[in-house]
Amino acid sequence: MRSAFVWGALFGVLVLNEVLSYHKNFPTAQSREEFAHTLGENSAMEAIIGPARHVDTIGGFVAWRMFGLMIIVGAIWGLLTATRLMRREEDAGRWELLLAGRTTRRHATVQAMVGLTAGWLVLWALTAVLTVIAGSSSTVGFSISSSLFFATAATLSAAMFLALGALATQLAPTRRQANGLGAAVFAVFYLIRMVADSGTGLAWMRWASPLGWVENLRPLTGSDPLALLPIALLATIAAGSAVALAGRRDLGAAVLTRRRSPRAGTRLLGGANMLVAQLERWVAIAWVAGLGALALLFGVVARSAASGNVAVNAIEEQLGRLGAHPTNAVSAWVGYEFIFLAALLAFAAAGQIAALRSEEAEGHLDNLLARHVHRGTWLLGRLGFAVVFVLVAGLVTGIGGWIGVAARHSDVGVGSMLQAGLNVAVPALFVLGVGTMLYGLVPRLAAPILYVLVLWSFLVEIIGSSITSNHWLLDTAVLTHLGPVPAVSLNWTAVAALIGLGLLGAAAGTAAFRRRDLVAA
Amino acid sequence: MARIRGEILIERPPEAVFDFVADERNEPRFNPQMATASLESDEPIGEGSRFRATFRSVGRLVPMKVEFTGYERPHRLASRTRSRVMLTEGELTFEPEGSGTRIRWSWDVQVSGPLRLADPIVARLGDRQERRIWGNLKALLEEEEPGAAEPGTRPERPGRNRPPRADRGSLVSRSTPERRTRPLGLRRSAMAPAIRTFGLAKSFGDVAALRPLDLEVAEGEVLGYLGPNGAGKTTTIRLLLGLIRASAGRAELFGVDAQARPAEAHRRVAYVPGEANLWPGLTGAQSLYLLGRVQGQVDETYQKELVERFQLDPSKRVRAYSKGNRQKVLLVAALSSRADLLILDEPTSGLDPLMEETFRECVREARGRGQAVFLSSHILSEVEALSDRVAILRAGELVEVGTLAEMRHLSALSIDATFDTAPPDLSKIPGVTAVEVLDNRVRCQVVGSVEPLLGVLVASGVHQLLSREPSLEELFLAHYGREPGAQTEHPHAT
Repeated sequence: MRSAFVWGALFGVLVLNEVLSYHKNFPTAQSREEFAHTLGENSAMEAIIGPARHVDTIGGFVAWRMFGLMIIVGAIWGLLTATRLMRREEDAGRWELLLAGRTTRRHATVQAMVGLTAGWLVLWALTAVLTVIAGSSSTVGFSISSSLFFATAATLSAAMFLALGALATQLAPTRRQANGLGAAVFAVFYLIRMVADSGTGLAWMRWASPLGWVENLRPLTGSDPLALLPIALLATIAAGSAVALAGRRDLGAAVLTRRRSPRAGTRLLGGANMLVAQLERWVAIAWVAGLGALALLFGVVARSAASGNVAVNAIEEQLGRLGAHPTNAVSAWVGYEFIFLAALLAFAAAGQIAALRSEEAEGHLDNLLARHVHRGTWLLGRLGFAVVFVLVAGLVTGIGGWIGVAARHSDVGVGSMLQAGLNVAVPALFVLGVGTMLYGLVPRLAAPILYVLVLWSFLVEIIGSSITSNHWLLDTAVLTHLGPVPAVSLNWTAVAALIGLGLLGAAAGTAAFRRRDLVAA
Repeated sequence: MARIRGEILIERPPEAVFDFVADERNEPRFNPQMATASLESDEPIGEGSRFRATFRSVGRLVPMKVEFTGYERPHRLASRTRSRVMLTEGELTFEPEGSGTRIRWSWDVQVSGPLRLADPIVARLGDRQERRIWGNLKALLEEEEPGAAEPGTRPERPGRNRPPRADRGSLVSRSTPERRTRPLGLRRSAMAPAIRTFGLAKSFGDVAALRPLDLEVAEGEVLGYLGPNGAGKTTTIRLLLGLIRASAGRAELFGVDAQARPAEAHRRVAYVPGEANLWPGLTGAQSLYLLGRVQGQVDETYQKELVERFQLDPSKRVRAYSKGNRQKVLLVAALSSRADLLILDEPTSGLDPLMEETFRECVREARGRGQAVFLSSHILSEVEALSDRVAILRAGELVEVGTLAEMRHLSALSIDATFDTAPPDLSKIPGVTAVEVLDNRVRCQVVGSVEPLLGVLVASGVHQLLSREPSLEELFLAHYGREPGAQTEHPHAT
């Protein structure tokens, strides 16, 4: 429920932000027409985030900017929330306690689905309220019904993936595998939608993908509720199947039982420090691959995205508020988009601290520290892995972005893109250092504080400059201190300062960790 | 040149004839050369007999194997090192002691070539794997000298020249080169205890989880640590392991400060936690491998044997194990390390009775090898069966510690007497309490001398008399909620 509240508020705030910035960026009808015309030719952009319909209107602009993003984020939220509530709780043994009472597996699953539905309602309600507020302005003029329809459409992917995630938890034996299954399904849906939106005359394929169904709802651009039917049907069938399967399998088991794996290797189990590679390697690889793929995509679409003067002007104005004055339109666009990648990598770094804390909270660390393992050595080993992961991710991001821009013959050099990759990594390194300090001092709060810090930085970076020019507020965002490279040159002073602060934080955290008690969950 | 000394008590009696054969074939790593020794005794070996053996190696590094027959199975006492350490000449004595044999040895050791101080020096005793008698050279170099300074002081650093040792007779003395390393030794009487605490205490805010604790566990001893939930048992263990910081006092494991230098203190320790918190994604085999590598030592042959004895399927992932099987993984990991100190917190939690019995056998074997065991358990019968001494904790305070015999001596004896007629009044007899009359039967507790009571019973024509020492359960319960002299039902009354 808490995460639904947070994400619902975030969705609503983002809509507000777009509404506020629309008239600033496109003050005249001509500017809006130009913008619409440019986007109409940008098939690459449409493939990534969906078609741009009526972007010369505020409704179309808001839908284009936010709808695609909210579909993706909502789906991820829905999947992770469902697997956390259902599979993780079952793996931890808490469902055993429930099922020892006067309930059945099916009934308990139904209750869990009700809980997930309540979470979705919270997400929808906050999004709806803030959209209605944003649309009520005379300069915006969204009707209440259209605002509500927009909120519904934007959160329906979350609803679908709550149900699909619940189904995945019945099929897969672990939370990780359920997430993988859900992610694979999402990827397939997304790819089909991409093909449909790539301007190749295959628009009918939108009906072959549930994400395409959501797009076909066309909120704020001529709402079409027809697609609500298949969406509701899919969610209902998935949820119903989850309930049915729950009653047929054993607690702790899954429908798709894994075959006995071959003899598990021990190559990465040579000691306490190598163990982190065993535990975290797939997560790290997934993040690196994902960030690299995104950077590649951004690089590929950068030239066409930057070809629309109006679009680039908007970005350049945004960058100007951040203190950057790029000379190259493509680099401006890439620099702006790479801010998102920096936020994502910082989020992943926070996840490394959370994983580290989890080792202690769940008692695994006792097995190591009760043996011939120094606390400081263990912590530095974990941090070392995280630092390598961040640096590799930054490098891959830079290289991926460069490959993308080079493939479209854009005028951004490899050196600039490698600097952009380093720029993406630096906030994550800072997060690791601060996270270590928090872990040493207040272990139970380390992960939550870090996630809030990253989220706050992202919001202030993206929205803050539109709302206020108070530099004290803006300076609280880690991302503010590094320019949108390659739109500008790498700020080596800021890099050194952030890394230095991160190192200080890590040193303080390590010293504190060596002195404190181990703390369970 | 250095000298290694040590001794061990094995639970086997000496037999009549021993043949000592030094055979290097067990150690293919070294360039073998023959070395022989022999011993004979003219008389049957029995209590009080004493004999000596000498052996000498010829040439380079030769591991010595001493084999003596006459037992059910041949036992071998051999040395094997991974470092280039040569045992040259020394003394080996076998002395009957009770039902066992105390073996003492004193060998000159010549070190040559590159030496890895962390390599274990082991002695093989019995068919199965060895007990690590000598530890490793690094540990030995840091051993305190006998009669050395107060506990907690740093041992002498290795490498200082020491004066030659006094001769122990022609069998032992040996000329030494100019430079002599500090004598190495593992004399049991001079070694630090496995566990020693000095006012060890822990508070969480205003709550005193453990009041100042002074406790000692000797090498080769099994100490049962008892207390109800929340008494402070797990807190004590976590303090000993340095997982939490002491509010006062300190603890030492084999003379090493467990709070200031925990990693070093753990070198000779293996731990089984009360909660089997293993990594769910690893298999049992991977978990054993990891824990063995982190521990730094594992007897793989013994580990395989333990896996069989505990009926563990190591190919499954931890998340697929029941609670008992997860516990087995931790038990196998700890026992197969052959650590000198086993710290076990509710080790049989989740185990079925058969596996509990297997666990008890393993602890007995460990004790026989000279390993110390700190056993925290709720299962009183298990503690009673295994422990040399018992410590009872109540609300964070140590209320009782001693052998069971001592504790029983200080506690009341249960008497159950049956008469042909009405029983006499026993309530006024000195030392008699908790008198309970049931028809012609009387039950009571007697503290101190039973003579006055026996006199009255005999004079009254007692028909049947049963006496029973208090069980550990009764001793334990006596510390919780029972008022002295109260009329209480017999613990086993139906």
